[in-house]
Amino acid sequence: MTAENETGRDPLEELASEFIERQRNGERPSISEYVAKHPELADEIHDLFPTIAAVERLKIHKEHSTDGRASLGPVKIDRLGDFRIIREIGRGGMGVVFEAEQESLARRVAVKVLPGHSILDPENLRRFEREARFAARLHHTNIVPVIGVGEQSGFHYIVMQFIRGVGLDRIIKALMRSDRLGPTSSEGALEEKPDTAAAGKEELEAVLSQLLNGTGRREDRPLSTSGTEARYWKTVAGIGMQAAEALHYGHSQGTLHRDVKPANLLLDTRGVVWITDFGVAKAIQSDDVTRTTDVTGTLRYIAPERFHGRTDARSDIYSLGLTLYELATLRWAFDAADQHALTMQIVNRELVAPRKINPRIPRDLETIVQKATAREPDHRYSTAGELAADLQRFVEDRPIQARRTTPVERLWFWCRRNPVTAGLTSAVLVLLILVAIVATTGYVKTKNSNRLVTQALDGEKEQRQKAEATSGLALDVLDRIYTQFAPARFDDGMNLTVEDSEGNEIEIPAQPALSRETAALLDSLLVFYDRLAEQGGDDAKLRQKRASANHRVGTIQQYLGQFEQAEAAYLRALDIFGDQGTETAKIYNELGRLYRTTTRPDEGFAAHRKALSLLEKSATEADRTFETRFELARTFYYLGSEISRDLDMVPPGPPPGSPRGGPGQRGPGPGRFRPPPSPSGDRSFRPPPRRNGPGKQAGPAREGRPRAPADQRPDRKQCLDKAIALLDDLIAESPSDPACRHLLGLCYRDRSRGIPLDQSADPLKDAVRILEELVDEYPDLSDFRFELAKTYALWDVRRLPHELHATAEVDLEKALDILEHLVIEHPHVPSYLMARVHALHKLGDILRRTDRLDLARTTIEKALVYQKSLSDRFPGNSSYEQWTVVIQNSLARLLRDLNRFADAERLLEESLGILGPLMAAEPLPDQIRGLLIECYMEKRDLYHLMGDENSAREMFDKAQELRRNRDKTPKPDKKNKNL
Amino acid sequence: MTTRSGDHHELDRRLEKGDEQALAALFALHRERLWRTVNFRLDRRLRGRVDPDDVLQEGYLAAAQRIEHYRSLDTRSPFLWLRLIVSQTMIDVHRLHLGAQMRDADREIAIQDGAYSQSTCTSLAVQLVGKLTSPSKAAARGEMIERVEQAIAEMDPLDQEVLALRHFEELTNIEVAEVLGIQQKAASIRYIRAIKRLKDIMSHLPGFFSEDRDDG
Repeated sequence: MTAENETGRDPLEELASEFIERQRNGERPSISEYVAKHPELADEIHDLFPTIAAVERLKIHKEHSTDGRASLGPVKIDRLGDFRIIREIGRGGMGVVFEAEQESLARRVAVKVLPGHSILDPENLRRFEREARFAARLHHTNIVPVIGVGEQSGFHYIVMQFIRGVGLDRIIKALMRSDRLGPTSSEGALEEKPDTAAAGKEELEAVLSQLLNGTGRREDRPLSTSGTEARYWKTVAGIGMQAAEALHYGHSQGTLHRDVKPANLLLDTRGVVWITDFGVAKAIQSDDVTRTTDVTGTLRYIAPERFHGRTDARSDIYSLGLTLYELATLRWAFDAADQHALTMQIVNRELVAPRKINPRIPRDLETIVQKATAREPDHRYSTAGELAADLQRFVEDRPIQARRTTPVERLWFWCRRNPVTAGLTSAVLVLLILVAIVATTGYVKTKNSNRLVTQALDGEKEQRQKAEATSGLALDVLDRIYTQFAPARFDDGMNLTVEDSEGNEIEIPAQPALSRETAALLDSLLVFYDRLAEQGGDDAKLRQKRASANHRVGTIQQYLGQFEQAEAAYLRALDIFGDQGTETAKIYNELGRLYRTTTRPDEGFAAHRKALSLLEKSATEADRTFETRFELARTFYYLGSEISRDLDMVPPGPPPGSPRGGPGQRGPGPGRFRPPPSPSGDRSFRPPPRRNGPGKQAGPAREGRPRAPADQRPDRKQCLDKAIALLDDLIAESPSDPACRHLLGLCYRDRSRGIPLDQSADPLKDAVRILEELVDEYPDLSDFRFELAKTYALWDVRRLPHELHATAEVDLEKALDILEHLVIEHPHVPSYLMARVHALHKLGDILRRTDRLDLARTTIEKALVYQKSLSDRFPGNSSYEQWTVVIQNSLARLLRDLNRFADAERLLEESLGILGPLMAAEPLPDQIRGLLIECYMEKRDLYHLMGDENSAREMFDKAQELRRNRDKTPKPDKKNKNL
Repeated sequence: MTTRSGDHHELDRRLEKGDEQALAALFALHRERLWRTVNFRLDRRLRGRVDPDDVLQEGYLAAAQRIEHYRSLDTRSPFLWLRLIVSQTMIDVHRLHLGAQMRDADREIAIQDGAYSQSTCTSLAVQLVGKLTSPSKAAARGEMIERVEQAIAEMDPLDQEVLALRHFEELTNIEVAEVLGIQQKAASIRYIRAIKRLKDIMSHLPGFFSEDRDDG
């Protein structure tokens, strides 16, 4: 060291070097030791050494896990004791598997080597050895035999029989990629690591051809007998059967597998399934599943109850069921990319029924898979043996034992699981079941008129009276349930103050988290009203309840982005009510809002106007109730508000599920077209000139958008002013009414839009103040929080003067803070997810404009990830796809600025790929054309920067051609009606 | 002088004479650090396709072919020479696999240009991006590690490069000085400065140091 001192090295750096060196040699030097030895540098040592140690830890972490897979770090292993390593055959979260030769016995073995770093503390190691020895005692045709365990130079390893087979994970991916079914997930297109994959390629091919064509099968195995799809299902069942038998055996020996997943099921060329890693996972992985590192592998297949620390044989059954699910559907059951989102999916999301993904999957196979993957362990097969037996029945074309769950059962399960119904008293639960039974009995009666039940019910007057009493009770119960699940969406005017308008205390329930499943169940509960009606006659009370139940179901469906179902429910409600008073007007307003958020503004305004006329004729001005006046205010608000996709975050495209290029493209005539904002305000993408209206003078202010022709639109400002006047009166009467205050906040907000910035500040401030107060008072009400977040995020970044960037950034951060929480609490509400995407996108744009490019990049990348997951959840929604393109292009622009041309180019290619199928529409909708032009122009710039002038020219020509065609295309008929 | 860069003068002399056995011995001696260079700098797009071991093997062959070249160089560090060759091999591998995308790769891989290279920031940043697109972020104990990563990604490229060389590639101060073409004194100061900046960034992340104090 003295020699180096002459070179003038910083003494602190020399000490740091020594400190690092000792750590690398496996010592744990203490910082206080250094402080004691070098008191003159004490402060600096205290200050910096912890950081140095942290960077070293980061290095070790990086080296031992690449993309969540184990790595042995820099050390190359050639030999472990008696075992000569031949090649690597696989990697998982747990270790690296090698093919090896046991030289003393001259036999092939597989050796799984665990990473040598600190995840294995002595306690874990003891467990590992114990479990591995235990696993060595398992002898079953379908379990990979464990030969032994060992340790050498810090590496612990398990020796197993070498199986010439392929993991089901690779098989599933290969089938996803194959033309037969087309890739269904980006992950399916992952490239395999060439050296291990090349080595395993032949095996993969052999196993696949065996699987699909039945060649090379062994006669006594129930695996596929022909390549037809129908046989494939039996093959899947055969694989499941073998695996289930192996699990059953293991369980009977007192061992749980705990890590069943496709990668741990090997299929050999004879069609034999081999389970590997039996019981071993437990030994080296903490039981705390939330700490698993191998997200793609292990976490995806973990049974939901394990997140609550419960596990038994049925957890293995679940994981096997999920594996079969993926093998049958060729879709990942859960696809979230990060741990948190994945956990949310597993715990909250109901699996899509296999036959919804592929209707050709046999019903019985679906039933078996669904039973195996039931969320509640009690609803699964109770042993793996039962699962195996049912799969065998399916293979042999015998009736299976699993029953499809009936709606009543599902209702019961749902009640028990759901936190809100869990809060109901058990008496109410019993009543709920009673409702189900009464209704179902009624159903049976009408269906099978010659049944004894019918006779009994018809014959005995006494019984009929009983039944009527029960219906009355059932009605009340249903009513309570609907009130719990569809309480006021305040901005939708589902008003809680119905009975309490005269100053009584107002009760505000917390909004329960809704799922599509809840919506579907509430939807199916509606049937009970009809059945009750069949039994008990059509009295007014029943009709009222039926209508409002439909109304509420509509609201829930709309909330969940299921617009078609929502529309159907609203229309049913209107049908039941007829044209009467305030209730009907409310439904018309809902319907209007729905139409407007799905780009049917004409119908939307018509519905609001209908509501207005109903309300105005319902009573003279003096006689109007509080409720009616509130509804009137709401109607004016809707007539005066801008429901644009940017503000309301509801996709304007076709409702989810409707075909691409279908009715969704119905209305984008020039007047109604609202292009997705192009955040850069760049030259290549020009929205059509804005029409008249206050938006025109907006200048560099907040949002002002093109809108429907003026003759179809009422005067916004006047309407909003009327609403505000009505609300002022109402609030004077009932100062604390949250619904009125909320609506007033929204009115002020919309009042601020489309007017110059200096004039818009005041109403906007009022809006923020009102909404902030409400959020403060009712922190549990997500609607209030959502509207506040939307208000914070209102900035139109594209037209923002520089001096406001900082303010907007702060607001967007606030919005994101709220939205992140909302998304976690309500993972199923698309408008929250959309709002988050847009806020991130806007924030990214501000960061870009203020030259924080790297941060901008991560922000926009985040937006893109979320947007894509939204597209995945509502496949075929062209609006979500267009948004994906918009965000991708923003990212491409940013990457270009960061000189990452190749990445930018790749993104633009992807954008064009997304737009491809949307181009089929005739005539080409303007927004699609605009996006295409944007893509080409971006590519042109990119090629220009890369010095490839020819390609640049080519792109420019493509863009020009699209522009020319736009001018030629005849404009679609504006008055085109879309009912 | 640490043992890592080695007082292997005998081997060094034999290498200068073109002794292939000495080359093999030196390669084995430095293998771990060379692996770290490759593992750290390998483009994320190639992960899973190219194994660092393969690159090392190629690198060794290239070194054997160009053993004469060593004598003509200024460097008297066999390790740095091997690192240079391995880095060039890595560029070839990137070119081979990324083909048309090489414009990017070229820029990212240029390791040995005397000045700091862009590759470090991209490597580090890429790992950050990786968090979004790959599940690796869910690592156990991951939060702390993520914070360090995040902090590093916020640093300026030169600081990142110094940290990368010292920590991720395990170069000594002398070696860093030679790679960056600066004086040892300057290299030493730069390292401490980089650590200080890292610490400053991290100290804004709450709760960070509690774990480390226990260690120390």
